[in-house]
Amino acid sequence: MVANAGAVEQVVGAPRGGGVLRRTLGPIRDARGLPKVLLWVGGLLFLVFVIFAIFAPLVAPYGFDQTESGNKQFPKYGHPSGSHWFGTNVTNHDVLSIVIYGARTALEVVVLAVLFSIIIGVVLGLISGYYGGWLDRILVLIMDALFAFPYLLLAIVVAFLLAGKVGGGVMTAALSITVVYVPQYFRVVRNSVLSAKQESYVEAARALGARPRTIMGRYLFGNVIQSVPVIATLNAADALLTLAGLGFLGYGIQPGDAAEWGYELSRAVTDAGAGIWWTGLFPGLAIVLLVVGLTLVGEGLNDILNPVLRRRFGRLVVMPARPRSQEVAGDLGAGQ
Amino acid sequence: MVWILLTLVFLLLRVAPGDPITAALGGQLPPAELARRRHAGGYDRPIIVQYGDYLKQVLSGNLGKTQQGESVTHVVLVNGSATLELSIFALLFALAVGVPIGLRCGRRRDGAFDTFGRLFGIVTYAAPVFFLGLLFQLLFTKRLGWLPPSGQVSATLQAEISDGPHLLFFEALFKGDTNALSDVVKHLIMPAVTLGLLVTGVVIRLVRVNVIQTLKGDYVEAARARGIPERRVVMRHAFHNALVPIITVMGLQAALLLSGSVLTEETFNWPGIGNRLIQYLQNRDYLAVQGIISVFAIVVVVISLLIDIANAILDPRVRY
Repeated sequence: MVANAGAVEQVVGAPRGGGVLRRTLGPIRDARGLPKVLLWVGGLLFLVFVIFAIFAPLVAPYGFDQTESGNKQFPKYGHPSGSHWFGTNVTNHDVLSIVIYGARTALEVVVLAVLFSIIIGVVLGLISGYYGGWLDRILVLIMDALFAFPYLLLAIVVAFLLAGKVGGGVMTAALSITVVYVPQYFRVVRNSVLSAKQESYVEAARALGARPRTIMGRYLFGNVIQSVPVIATLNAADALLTLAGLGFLGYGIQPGDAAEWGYELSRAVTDAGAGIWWTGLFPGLAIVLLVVGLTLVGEGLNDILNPVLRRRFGRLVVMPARPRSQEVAGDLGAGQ
Repeated sequence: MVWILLTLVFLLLRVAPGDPITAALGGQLPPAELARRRHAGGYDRPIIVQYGDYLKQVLSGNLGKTQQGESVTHVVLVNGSATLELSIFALLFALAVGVPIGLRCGRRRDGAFDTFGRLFGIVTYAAPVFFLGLLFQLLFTKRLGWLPPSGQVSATLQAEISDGPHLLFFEALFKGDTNALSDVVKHLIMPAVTLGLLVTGVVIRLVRVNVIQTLKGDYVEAARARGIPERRVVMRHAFHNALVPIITVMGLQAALLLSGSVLTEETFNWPGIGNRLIQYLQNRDYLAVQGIISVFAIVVVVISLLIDIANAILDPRVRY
């Protein structure tokens, strides 16, 4: 009861963190049917990879850069076997270990990239939408241009430029992916700010003499942030593919630093010519499964949170039957 | 829009890394030689003058020269046409597969077929093109031996083909050379299907969502009430009206197609523009990279213009 009272208070008062979270997550609890199934399957898939990523040293049989065990060199292109479930690759590494450590790299990069894009995109969107004017116009132009540009090329160019200065680590990969996704958050946030700043509670805040920072942080932020979770999960899936693409083209993470699925696949293309399938199949499957997991979560969230697509599973209202005599009389009346 | 994109390209590739000579050769040549080459290339002039020059050159179709002295415009025409051929067939495949599936999914929302269609869309979207390409190569080249692994045409036929644009399919078709045609088609199937599948997922999702939306419309109800067959209602009334948003969003997917083609070309060693771009990036050939990226920028804008025109034709309410 106490908790309920709190919720009511928050809805009545200015939107605050807890209230926003509750309002955003509320529909998820009430979801049923296909969206719920999608959400659960996707969430489970995602969870498996998170476990791999966090406990990689415990789960993986060997290190990602290990080429021997107990003074015994691993075979080159060893078939999948008892000691190497997924076989070994051209540089005598264990493919299973690479796949597991790859999850760690992928999640690190993607989490960083999505966080960066949310922070930059939301802040720029808030400022641009609230202040308007020439700043808004310039930002919109730049963001539209970035948005229209082929995402992978953008990431490659940034990675290419950063690699010369920063070096090819997790940070470089994350930053190059960030550039691709900032415009999406910017757009969404800017557009909701534009409509939200006309609301009377914002006007009231302004009349009370609140500073722009307070208005943006306290009043607008909570109201424009709600579509971000959906975009973030879908973007995470997309960012993963971009990372793999970068790795495939040789602009991802330096091979010695970490295991990366896209890079493994680029080497596997040559292996495929020789009929060696295990070096490509397993890292590739890992990408597919993780992306599917994230996409399912995103789609599920979208189905549940997006009011346009949402379906209410309300209880059917059964009207009490009318007395038969009246019905007949009515029909007769209409006939005459 | 062209101007903004070109300015961004200039800022990113010319201003950020410094002049192309120092960026590519810095540390390898004595400073005097570097300065001489910089002067010869005109890179010691104020940046704003260079910017003006760049815009003028791009507008007149001159994209500069590569490190090997090849004209970038020539490279774009020759290799770009190979990319164009690949993209056309990929798009055709995506539409031929995606539109019917999307329509059926939209008509029976949440049915078994709809669930299948959505999952198909998600999986094709989730599989990186190079992974799909790899699987196809393993299956159709190594296992079954049906299709050649890579390239646009066999080495024996390559010699007979002129050094012009690489629109080999159309070239062979117009010449009526069945031998060459079958060879070209065999090389084309795997890359086009791989790239096509990437876009298919998007097509399915788009058609599905928009048909669901238009089927809710009053005019659909009215058409049904007049006793028009359901098939015709879906095709003429719902699908036709769904086309405008579908085409608009498809236009945005041109960027997806371009990105995908870079990866597809790399996987299948297709002699397209993306393949060349990766080479130039590895050689740190800034001018060539700048030229090709500028072309991509222009292509994106031209496609969005074409989309607007197509929408104006389809939707009588849109007038310019």
